[in-house]
Amino acid sequence: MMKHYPYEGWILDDIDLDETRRADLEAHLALCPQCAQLSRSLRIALQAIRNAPEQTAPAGFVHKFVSSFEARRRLQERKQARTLAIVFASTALIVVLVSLYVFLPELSLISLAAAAVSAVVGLLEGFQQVVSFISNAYKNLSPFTLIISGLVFAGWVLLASLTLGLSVWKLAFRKSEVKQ
Amino acid sequence: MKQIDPIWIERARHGDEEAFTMLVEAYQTPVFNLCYRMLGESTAAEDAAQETFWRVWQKIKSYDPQRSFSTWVLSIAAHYCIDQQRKQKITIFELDEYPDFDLGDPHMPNPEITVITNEEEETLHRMINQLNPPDRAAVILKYWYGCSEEEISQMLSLTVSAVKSRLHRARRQLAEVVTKNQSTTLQRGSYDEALSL
Repeated sequence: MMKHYPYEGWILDDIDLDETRRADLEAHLALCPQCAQLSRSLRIALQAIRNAPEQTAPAGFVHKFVSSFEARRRLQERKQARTLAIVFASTALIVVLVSLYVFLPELSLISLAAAAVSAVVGLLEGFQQVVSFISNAYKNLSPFTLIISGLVFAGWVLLASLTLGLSVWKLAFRKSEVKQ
Repeated sequence: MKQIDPIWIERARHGDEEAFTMLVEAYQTPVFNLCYRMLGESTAAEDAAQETFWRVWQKIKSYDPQRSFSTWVLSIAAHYCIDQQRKQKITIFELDEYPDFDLGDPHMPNPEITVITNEEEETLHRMINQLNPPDRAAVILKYWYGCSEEEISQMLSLTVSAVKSRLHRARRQLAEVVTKNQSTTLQRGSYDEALSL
């Protein structure tokens, strides 16, 4: 049986052999059809690769890159902002949970849930009391007192709205001044 | 490969977008060619080349000026294409689809090989596609870009011996593709001959 070592390696390593080795390889290739075929096939494959022309970039490649640049940057900023928000929210949650665990060691999930439910119930009861107070006042008070109370309440709401509007307008105005 | 004044690279490193556009203009063809040879399709290659330049822009501040800029850019392109192909698991061609190669004497200059037609381009892609993505990248960098094994090892984050072994395996595979095709062509020829008798 014909030995292919080291000839197969010499062929596949694609290196420049010294004269002695090259002559040795040539002699082997003349006798071994398997190695001769390997050498021939590899030569054809590498020649095909080396002779293939360089593919030029399509027309407008640079323009396409430049015009997509701003969009890519915005997308990246959005991604970074999202990541930052997730990190902050997770950190805040961890801090809250650790604080609860440290400062209120006896607090459990059940007691937390119970506190939340009782707060909601309390809020609903308060709202109910306000409604019943208004309906009682409407039934028992004289129309004159009702009109005066209504006007006072409406005046208070108007004043509060004006104050709020003025504050918002001032803030917006000052902000635009700073920008300019 | 087109040489560029290092001042543009330095300016791009400092965030100059105009200078970076000059770099894109200078390196668009080598990067596109590498992506095309890796992915075998124009549209995918263009997208990959665009993404490569975006990644280059993002990483340019960490670029070491002691290193060759073109090698650095090509390594980003090669890594991106390898990742893309791993994700997409590009179809492996069946053995029957192996390309037709000229059986003439390879020592003789052959005009049919020198003039590359679209069909030959297609067969070349099929042949290259037989290789797994990192082996393909090593072959492309070696035979199209003339990179040394040391350079390839840096570009693909491999050891030199790993590059050598990948190239060795790739060359064997390429030779096997050609041999397989030659025997298929010969069998087809004798079958046609038998039919004509």
